[in-house]
Amino acid sequence: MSADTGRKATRWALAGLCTLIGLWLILPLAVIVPISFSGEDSFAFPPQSWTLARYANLVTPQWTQALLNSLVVALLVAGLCAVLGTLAAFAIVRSHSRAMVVLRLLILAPQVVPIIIVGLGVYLVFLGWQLTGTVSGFVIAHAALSLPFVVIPVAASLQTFDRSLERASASLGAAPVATFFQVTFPIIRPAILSGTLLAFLGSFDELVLALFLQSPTFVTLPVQLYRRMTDTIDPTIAAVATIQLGFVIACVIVALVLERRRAAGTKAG
Amino acid sequence: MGGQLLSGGVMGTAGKARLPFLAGIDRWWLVALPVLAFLALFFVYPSATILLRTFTRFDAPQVGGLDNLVWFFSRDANRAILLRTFVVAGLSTVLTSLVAFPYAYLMTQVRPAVRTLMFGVLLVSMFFGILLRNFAWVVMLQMQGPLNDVIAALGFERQRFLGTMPAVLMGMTHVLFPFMVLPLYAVLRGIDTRLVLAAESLGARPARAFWDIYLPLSLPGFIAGALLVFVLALGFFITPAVLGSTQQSLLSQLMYAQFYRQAAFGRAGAMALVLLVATVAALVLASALSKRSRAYEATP
Amino acid sequence: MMTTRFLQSASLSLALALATPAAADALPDLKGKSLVFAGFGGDLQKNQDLAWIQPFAAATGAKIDQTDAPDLAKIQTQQEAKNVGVDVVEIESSTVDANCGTVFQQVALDRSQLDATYDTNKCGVPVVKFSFVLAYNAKKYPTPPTSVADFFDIEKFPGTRAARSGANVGMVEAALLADGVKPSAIYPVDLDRAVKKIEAAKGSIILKDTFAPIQDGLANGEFDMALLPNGRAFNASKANPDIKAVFVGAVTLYDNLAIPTGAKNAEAAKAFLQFAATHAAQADLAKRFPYGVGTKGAAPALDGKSKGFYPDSFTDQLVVQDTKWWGSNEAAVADRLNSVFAQ
Repeated sequence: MSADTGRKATRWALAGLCTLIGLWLILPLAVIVPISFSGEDSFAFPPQSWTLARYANLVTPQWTQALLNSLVVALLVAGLCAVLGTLAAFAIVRSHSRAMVVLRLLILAPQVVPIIIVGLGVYLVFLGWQLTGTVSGFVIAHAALSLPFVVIPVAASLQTFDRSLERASASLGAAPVATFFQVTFPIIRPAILSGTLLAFLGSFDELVLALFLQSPTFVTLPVQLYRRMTDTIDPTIAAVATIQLGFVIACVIVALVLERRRAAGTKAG
Repeated sequence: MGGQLLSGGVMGTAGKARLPFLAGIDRWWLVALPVLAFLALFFVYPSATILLRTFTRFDAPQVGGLDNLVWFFSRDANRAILLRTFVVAGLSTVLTSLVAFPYAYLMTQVRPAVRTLMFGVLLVSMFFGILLRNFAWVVMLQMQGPLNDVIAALGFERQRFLGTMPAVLMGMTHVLFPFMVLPLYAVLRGIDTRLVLAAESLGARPARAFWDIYLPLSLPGFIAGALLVFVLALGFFITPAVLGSTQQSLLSQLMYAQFYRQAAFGRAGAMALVLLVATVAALVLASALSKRSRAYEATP
Repeated sequence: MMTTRFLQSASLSLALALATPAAADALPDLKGKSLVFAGFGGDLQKNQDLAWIQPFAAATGAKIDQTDAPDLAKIQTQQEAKNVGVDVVEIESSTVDANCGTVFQQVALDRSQLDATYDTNKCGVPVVKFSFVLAYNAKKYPTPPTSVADFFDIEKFPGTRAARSGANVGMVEAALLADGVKPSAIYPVDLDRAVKKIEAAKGSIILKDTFAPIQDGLANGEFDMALLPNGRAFNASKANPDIKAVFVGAVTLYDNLAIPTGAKNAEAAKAFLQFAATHAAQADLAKRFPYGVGTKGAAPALDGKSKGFYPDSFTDQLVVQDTKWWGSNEAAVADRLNSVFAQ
């Protein structure tokens, strides 16, 4: 009896604590919203006067160009990672060579080597190669960081993959390429897609390498935001944040609804 | 995601005892080549470039040999920053664990609908972007900000948070939270809670059963998450710059200053080397720990 | 938004109307050419855009891209890699004095309109005379501070004060004044003495890497006082009328516009420097934003509010910086202050 009430109390305490943690995760993001309507060039809260000018600001070239640059870079990074990452996953799972340990370490390394080290090195080397301030420079540097996002899920999916399906296809006379596209690819596709999405997001949000690689004529959205936070006080960044917040919430809701439908569907089937 | 990333569990058993795609020749090597070349050229070479500057580039008063490393360790300020980097990384790991554990645990206990909500909150915060989250905390923690409004409404004096260590830790914990909660949840989900109930039915008090049975079983998730968080925290750069002040700067910021403000590539290289060695040491230590905890699990 | 746009374009056409006659015949046709300008950001650069960049671009046809944070070391790094990304940089005159002919290239310009006091090297054009003032929140201090030295008087003026990290930010000079050194005896700086004074007040000082968060923090109550360039203090006062500035003992210095060696668009950059070396261009900037000119000729008339933040209104109170001393000691001071504040 007393153990039961104790358990109940613990549960309520836990639920209360987690509500607080949830608020801690979300609430600070919400306080940005009023700042985006601030009439002063200040981050003071709450604003003293109100305006919509910050949103009008967003359609000026310096913001649209930064957004466009970020999108182009992130899309190319996603594509490059999808191809290179899938190749790497195949090599890691299917090769017998002991040297694959090297590949595995190499792919994981950019995630654990402090980003500032990569940033300094990339800056020194890419300056000499004339790659700073270019789309290719950004894409290459970001892709090296984002490869694990694709390799890990695809390798996991390949490992649980039933190879006899491929052998059956081959024994029926299908060429290896046809076997790949008709048998293997459909099965690992979800892993590739989710990895590619993470690679896209990783590049879209990346700031440190971007700070090194930026040039006056090529700036990505995070760099633009950072400059508007540190060199100039500009509530326009709050407008960007507000839009991004709305977008992220919408995406997460859609993703979770789809996921629950899918789960319900599998249960029913 | 994070746990797999470091433990290498997913890939660890790769390539063993499978039928060769083509007998005799391991053609997968060829498939690996472009990736290897890509990473060698665009990741290994650049990183090695800055590390090697430690031994090849000297700015007065350093002249040669190990001077840059000697400079690093002989200056009080550098040692203080190195120590602070470790302390901050350790503290943020502890804090992140303290917030992440109840959250991950509750996620395993609730109805699917509530779990979806909890996941949603986590994902929104995670995908909102690191820089903007830091910005959110600047607004939140400022002297006339919402948090201080609450403090003032409760009758206390307004506190200055920005530019102090608590603000830096708050921002870092917020940014690092998903990296702890995801691997932790992955492990907690797999724990059979009937074991805890069994212990209780044998007379153990709930707290005791939780402590003796549940916590040890959650250890692998803890270690994976803590390791990832610690290693990431060692390299933090943007958050301490935005929420802290120069007095709280970490090794990454010092490195950036040596590089950009003084063009002292040799000294920056020495710091990079120290930071990298520290990171690798942390990884090795943690993998040893996790082996021990797995051995513990395996003991009947 | 609409109104600001309109005002901008109105003032642009006005600027063109005023600036064109004086400078137009000297300006070459640069259609199809481009150049990159690196300034200090903030409202200064916004106004430089209006006073210099837009008129210059309109008159010559050159395309001008802008960036900020022009660190000397960054330029050197780019030169080492033979890939210099900026053509005109704004940087402290002492830095150009010390690196003229190496990091920065010498340019042959018509320097007849420049004030000889400020025209100290063959590379740069002196611009933007400014002071590191003590900006404070008058609400916090009913008895206001009377000198920049009060930045270090934490007994009489308790509270959090902010300054920028780095070396040449007005802090060492203020520390010496606070320690009783006469304004005329500050240079050469006794660094040990300054550091001792700084150490004593360190607990109340917050350093930030850029001016913008200091300016905003002062305006919204985060900091009680700060060492700021007078223009940043002016901006803080626009956001919060309680912010006032003290010019007594304020270190006063000026920037240079200079062309890095190896710049890709040196020709257009040179034309831009020539444009900025005219009194008309510099006075146009000073009218918009309270920084002084590096040219001969009368300082422009300012309205009441910005006058209180304009160095030329307080000439007898300022400490004129010894740019030579800074040129050869900046790295050492930076190193020393870094290690003071790291612990």
